[in-house]
Amino acid sequence: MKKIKTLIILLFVLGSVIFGCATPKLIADKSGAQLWGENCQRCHNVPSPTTFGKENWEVVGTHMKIRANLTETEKDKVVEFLQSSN
Amino acid sequence: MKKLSFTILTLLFAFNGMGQNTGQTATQETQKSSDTKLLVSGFGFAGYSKMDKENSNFGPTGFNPIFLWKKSDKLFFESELMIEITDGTTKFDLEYATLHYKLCKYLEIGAGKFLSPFGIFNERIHPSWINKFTDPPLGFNHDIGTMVGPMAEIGVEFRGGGQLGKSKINYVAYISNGPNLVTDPSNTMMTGMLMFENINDNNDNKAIGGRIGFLPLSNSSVEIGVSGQVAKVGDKGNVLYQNIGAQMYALDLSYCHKLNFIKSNLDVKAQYNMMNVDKAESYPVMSGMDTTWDNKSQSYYIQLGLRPAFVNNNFFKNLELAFRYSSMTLPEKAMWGGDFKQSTVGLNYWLSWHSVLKLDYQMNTQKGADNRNGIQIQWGLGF
Ligand code: HEC
Repeated sequence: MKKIKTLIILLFVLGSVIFGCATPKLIADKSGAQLWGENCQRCHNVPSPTTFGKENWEVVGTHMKIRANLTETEKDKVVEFLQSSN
Repeated sequence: MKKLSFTILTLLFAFNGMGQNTGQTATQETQKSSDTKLLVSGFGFAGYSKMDKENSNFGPTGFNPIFLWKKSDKLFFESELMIEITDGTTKFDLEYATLHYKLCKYLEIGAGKFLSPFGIFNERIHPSWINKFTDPPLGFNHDIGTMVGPMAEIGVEFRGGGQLGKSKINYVAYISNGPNLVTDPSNTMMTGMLMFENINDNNDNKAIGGRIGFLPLSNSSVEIGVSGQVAKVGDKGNVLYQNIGAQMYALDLSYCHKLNFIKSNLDVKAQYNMMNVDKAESYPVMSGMDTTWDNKSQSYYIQLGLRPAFVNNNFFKNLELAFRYSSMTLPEKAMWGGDFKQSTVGLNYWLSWHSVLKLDYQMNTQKGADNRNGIQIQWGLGF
């Protein structure tokens, strides 16, 4: 039980560190298209924006956020880009 | 237990608070539609192999449907079935079925059966349209006795990711049934082996594990991961084995880079798994065999893919050269032990972003046994 507690606290500390960090401008300014190009080809080929309709991109985006542990901002920007270009 | 629940609840509330602080996300969420959205996806594959001195064979072949439901902005369900004809039998399995709930933008909770976040092969490479080779590397096969490290868990996981300056970090922590140790005297061929499909936990102890991934570069091209899992693996009530534990660790690396001078994409993936099961006083074995041994196993692979994706020729831009080296060392004195090495050279042709024809030449060596070399072909199709 002690192990679980340590793990949870560690997770929390990690979360706080991340939350406490200001995102540099270079990262904050990245467009959905750029994030799509950088992130979506790390594990497999990149599907083109026309592969899915608006609703399905939302489902895929959530699936990939979980699978790849993408940040919420990355997911939102990429999904918005994919939805707007199809 | 009460104290633990309290800690969890407090921290979860705190996390949830973090998400709410960034008011923009909260408003966006209420604006989004909350209707159920279903997507059926998945993959299929068909294969052929001709290994030296063996019959040629069509197979393995398989169909893995994936069902994805986005029930609301916070609730998500994902499931994959595995139906596969291999080694003369049809296998049917639930690869994963996980309910996810978004606690805040940094943390999702998932419950059910999920792919082990142990290294990168299980979660990220196993589908036939993603794996650049016709089979998994040594140590990452589903077959009994050839797994070094867990493939799937039944339990609860917490996961998420965040920006850390210009770098990124991601994390998964889980608690699950964990593996169980084979000690059954009627199964002397397998005693000392870990079974990872522990559907009904054999003891009250739960496995604890997780992975931390770090992406140091701002363009996300490099990821380094460290994973671990600890668990008690012996049957509860069996005095000989109930205190035996297992510790497992993995290191992984992913690297993608555009090589401008040859107009190609380079993709490198590697993973090292090590597994230690506490030494037992003795196992029931066949007469004449060692009754105990240092129960340590390890496996690793390194794979490279090179695809001239930026040349003008339509045929060549879809070709990919791939190479993988993998190794698996199982305890020498165990009935199921051995030292295995494998090299695979592959030529892939991409018919679309998730459809690929693979041609592999594979060389297998095993200490004390004949080499096993041959050709394997597979057509993998995602949908
Ligand atoms: C960390 C690895 C990884 C990254 C990064 C990644 N994917 Fe995936 N993706 C996968 C895996 C693995 C699957 C196969 C599904 C499974 O196994 O659950 C998949 C499946 C898919 C599918 C098929 C439908 C589905 O959801 O299963 C689409 C479309 C897709 N990814 C798009 C994307 C997009 C767009 C991005 C960028 C935001 C992305 N992927 C980033 C690993 C990744």
